[in-house]
Amino acid sequence: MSVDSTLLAERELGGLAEKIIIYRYKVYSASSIALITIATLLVVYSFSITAPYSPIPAILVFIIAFSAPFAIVAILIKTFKKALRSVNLLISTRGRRLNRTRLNVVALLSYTTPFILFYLTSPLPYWETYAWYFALAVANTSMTLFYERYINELLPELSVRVYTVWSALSLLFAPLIAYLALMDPLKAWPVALITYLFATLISSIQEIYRAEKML
Amino acid sequence: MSWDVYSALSSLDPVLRHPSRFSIMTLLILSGPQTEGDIVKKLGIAWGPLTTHLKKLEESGYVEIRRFPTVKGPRTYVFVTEKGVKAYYDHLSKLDDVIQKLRKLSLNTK
Repeated sequence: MSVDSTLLAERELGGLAEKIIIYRYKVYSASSIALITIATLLVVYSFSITAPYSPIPAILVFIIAFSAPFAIVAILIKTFKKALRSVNLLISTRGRRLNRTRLNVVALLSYTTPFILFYLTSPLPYWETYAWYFALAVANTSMTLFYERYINELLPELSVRVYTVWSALSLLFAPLIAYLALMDPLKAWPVALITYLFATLISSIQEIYRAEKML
Repeated sequence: MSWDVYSALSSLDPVLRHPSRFSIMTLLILSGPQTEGDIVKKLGIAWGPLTTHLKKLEESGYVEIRRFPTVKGPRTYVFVTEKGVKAYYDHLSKLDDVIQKLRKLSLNTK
């Protein structure tokens, strides 16, 4: 029946649009965490490598390395906001509302409070070189509990797990970093760096894989 | 056609029954606000019919049309409204109902 095929095509288009909204949110959130982490590491390491030699190249590298992550983050925020707006529209059809102020406050507090608290103290030698790892592990856990769980409750089809995996892996390796900090503090920061990068990439890749499987 | 299917079909939103208007709404929900030029390019709808479709969607309160000055001259942006999103998803669930009834009907007639 022709009317059947036309209606079926319309229904499929509508269903596909919904899937694309979810897919885009998953992929953007997964790729943004990986890109922001890599960009931040670029800033820190390009500066620390060039700084001891000559101040002028160091400043140049610092400016380039600093502007690149800012550009990446600016683009990511723009695209992510677009994805979040579409998700918000989907949520509104379920008779619920996404509280964006709550999300902003959670993100702001999650990524500032642990750093302030961890860097106010210095309980172990060379603490400032690896304290960021524990601060980020707490930040990611907070994002899992107050951001990811909230958005998944509002739209269960989303079932995004990027922060859950990220925080689980960071917490899993935290005892190893703590052990190294006690036994051989100079080895703590490179191991923290590698494990954090590993946790970021795994959480990012698994989310992209789950998004691909959904389509 | 059975009465059941007929009543389900007539319950579909008359504004969204048109494939072009349905496509415009899908694009707006998926990609956010678009200029009229973007809609023409992305959906391949001619300017004349697009104006008519947008007028119908605006009259129903499903979209908002706003003009903004840009560096390239004034651009007309089309925004989907909350009422439009709700109508779109209501239409989708009603489509499910119609398709189910049509399938039942075709099974019964076989």
